[in-house]
Amino acid sequence: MAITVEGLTRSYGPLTAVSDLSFSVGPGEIVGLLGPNGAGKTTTLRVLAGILKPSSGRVAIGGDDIVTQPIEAKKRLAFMPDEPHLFEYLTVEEHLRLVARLYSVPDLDARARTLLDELELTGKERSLPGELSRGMRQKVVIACGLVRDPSVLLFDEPLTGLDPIGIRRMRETIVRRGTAGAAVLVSSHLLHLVEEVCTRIVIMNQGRKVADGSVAELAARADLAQAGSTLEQIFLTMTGRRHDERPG
Amino acid sequence: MFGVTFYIMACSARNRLRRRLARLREPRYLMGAIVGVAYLFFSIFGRNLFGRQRRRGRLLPAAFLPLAGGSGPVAAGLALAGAAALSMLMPFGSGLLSFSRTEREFLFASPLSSRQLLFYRLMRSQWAVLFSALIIALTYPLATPGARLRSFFGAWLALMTSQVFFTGVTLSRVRLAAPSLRARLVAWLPRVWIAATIAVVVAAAVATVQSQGAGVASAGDIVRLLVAVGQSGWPNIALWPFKAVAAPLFAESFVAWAVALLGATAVYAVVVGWVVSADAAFEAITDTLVEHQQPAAPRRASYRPRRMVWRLALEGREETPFIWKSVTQTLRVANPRLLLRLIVIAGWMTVVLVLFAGRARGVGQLAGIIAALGAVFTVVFGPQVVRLDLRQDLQHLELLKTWPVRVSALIRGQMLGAAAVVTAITWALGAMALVLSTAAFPRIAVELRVASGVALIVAAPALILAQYTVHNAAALFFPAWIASGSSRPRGVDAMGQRLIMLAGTWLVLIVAVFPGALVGGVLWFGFARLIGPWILIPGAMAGAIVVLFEVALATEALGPVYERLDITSVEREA
Repeated sequence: MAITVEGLTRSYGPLTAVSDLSFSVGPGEIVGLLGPNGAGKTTTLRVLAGILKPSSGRVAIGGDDIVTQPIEAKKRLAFMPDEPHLFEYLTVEEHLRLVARLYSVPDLDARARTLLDELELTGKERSLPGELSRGMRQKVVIACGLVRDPSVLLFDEPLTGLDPIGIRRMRETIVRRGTAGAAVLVSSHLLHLVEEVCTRIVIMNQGRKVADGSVAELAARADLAQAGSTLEQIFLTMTGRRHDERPG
Repeated sequence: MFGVTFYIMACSARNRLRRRLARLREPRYLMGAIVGVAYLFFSIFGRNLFGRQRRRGRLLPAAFLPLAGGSGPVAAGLALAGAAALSMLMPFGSGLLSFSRTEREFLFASPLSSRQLLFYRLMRSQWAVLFSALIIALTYPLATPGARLRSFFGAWLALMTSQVFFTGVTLSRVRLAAPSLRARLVAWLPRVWIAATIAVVVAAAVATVQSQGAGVASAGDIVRLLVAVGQSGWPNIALWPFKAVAAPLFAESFVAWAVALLGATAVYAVVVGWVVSADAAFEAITDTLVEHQQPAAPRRASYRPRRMVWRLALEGREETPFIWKSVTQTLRVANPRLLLRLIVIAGWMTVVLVLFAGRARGVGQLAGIIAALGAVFTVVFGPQVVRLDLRQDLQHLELLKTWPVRVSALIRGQMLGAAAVVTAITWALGAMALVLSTAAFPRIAVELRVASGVALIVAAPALILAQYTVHNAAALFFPAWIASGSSRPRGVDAMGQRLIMLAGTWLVLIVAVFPGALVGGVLWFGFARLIGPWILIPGAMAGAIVVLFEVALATEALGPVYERLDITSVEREA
């Protein structure tokens, strides 16, 4: 398995953000991580990326434990957070170069050109983050993640700040990476995106996993038979919201 | 607008106080508060208490009486006129025009005129002005409570006038490029007036020197001459607005103070009228603010996308990318405004040294002394000021933690990058001091000069790195005590925290450098008689090697600490 999560628990003082979470993502799978605000999605992704240490449990990336073999595990993964973290004094091109050096990317120039084209960043190579819009900065973070061709991709709200064309391209990129064999974990509140691109769904609520499977599998579950067949109906039922409580 | 402004001020003050009181529950803030309050008490009241004990029986109603006799307001007026002239020349912006992101998003979109916005900022800045006036009143060397109260109101009015005036200067800069000829003339008017004031005073001073044949040998002579000139004739008239602003601070009685306050208030009213009349300029400035200020961090240093000579290679040591990053940041942060500020500071220091250091004759001697002092200053204080290391990058911890880099290499790289910048400055200043040492320090033997200069250059990297090791270790062990990024927590408790951190850092640094100093000292005592001052060089080398070895060991030891460092324990910029 490309991503293995076993009994993951993560606490912040007295608050348990993630509790006894287990799931796995295989190569070529695109898994959607869903849950209401405060469900523990971002904490889970941060633990998977090696930013936070698990309080208990185990996380492995490509078989390497993120705690005991962090360098090997981190070399395989790319984490794209919802808030773009960039160095204000490095240009777009220099960010890519820095990442290429850190991750030992051999043919940077060719890869960078393709990626910048794909993400519509051509012409912005020498721009500093301060000169870019939020959406553009988000694209730079995504470019930094994709330039090293990782086998594991973690997206936290990847479409935040992107324009409609950017959203479409991002969707295509996620699918293309999945098809090419990467294990992709996408956290998003955009249920239609998840339904469209993901092969499997993991739903979290109050730090715990409450559902795991494809939309069809979940719809066929006995306890969800009354919920309906759409992801939105399943999500609302699994997270304890009634259908008439949909956000407006 | 009054209501809205007071509401925002009251809510902000209440919530800030509540938050600061709440954080006193944490031991680090409580300790910081105790130390901060003690520091403030002893630095403000302690001085007066102890001073009063020492001088009991001979304290005059005002320690400033020699100035209060008439020359005080003139001296202060001259200083204000000089500051006003400088503000016209320097491209510094006014703090009153710095709106926060929230203010921009809420208020700029509200149906408020630019005058109302300016008024809002003026009101919002009152806490800082009042605090400054309070400090001036408390430290003012007058004996009676009434005199302190008078000095408080006088300082408050003077600070407000200065603040509004500098805002007007910023706005008038925009007006200089206005399409309307009238607007341009209005913008030039205060410049011409200030220039005329300075010209009148200087011309009178020159005329006095020529007519009396009096020599001007020192800074004291110049000050005395200008003060004398400023009390009569045209200079007296030209300097009146500046003297009027300062006059309440020097009034000896309540009546004199009340009269002086009337004059100061009149000047304040004129300045406010001048600024408020600059609506169009204010709108142009607010447009610029909205367009160019970083939305997330309005006070963050601005960087310029200069092409870098050093292109990061795709292979090499793990530490190199961090050094490259720091060097790139340093070269990009430098902007003309910063350079101009440095030139002004250097120029000011030069003038002060020329005027007050009687021995500093000649450019070579002066430059040599400044370079030597600068080199020592950079070694001792550089690592505290240049924070291009983990202290700054804690705000990027989320990103750094995802990088597949050995932790010890990451820490070393972060330190080496910052140390490289500080070392380069030290070496440049040290080399300059060495070259000019013959002129700067003629009484010191050439061997001792050269040996001590080279020793400083040799030892500098180790001393700088040792300090960075201590600072970065502190950042890793006590991340919540370190202000990450360019923000600084405010409050007495935060100030106390910084004092504790500073004391702790210096203590650890002394312990860390001690073994290296011991080795160097042993060499000095063993061989100084044989080879003279040249032993300083191998002594510095040996000491540096010992310290560098300690630094290498420390970076390895800090690895697990970084691994344990939790992102939630770091206070990052909002």
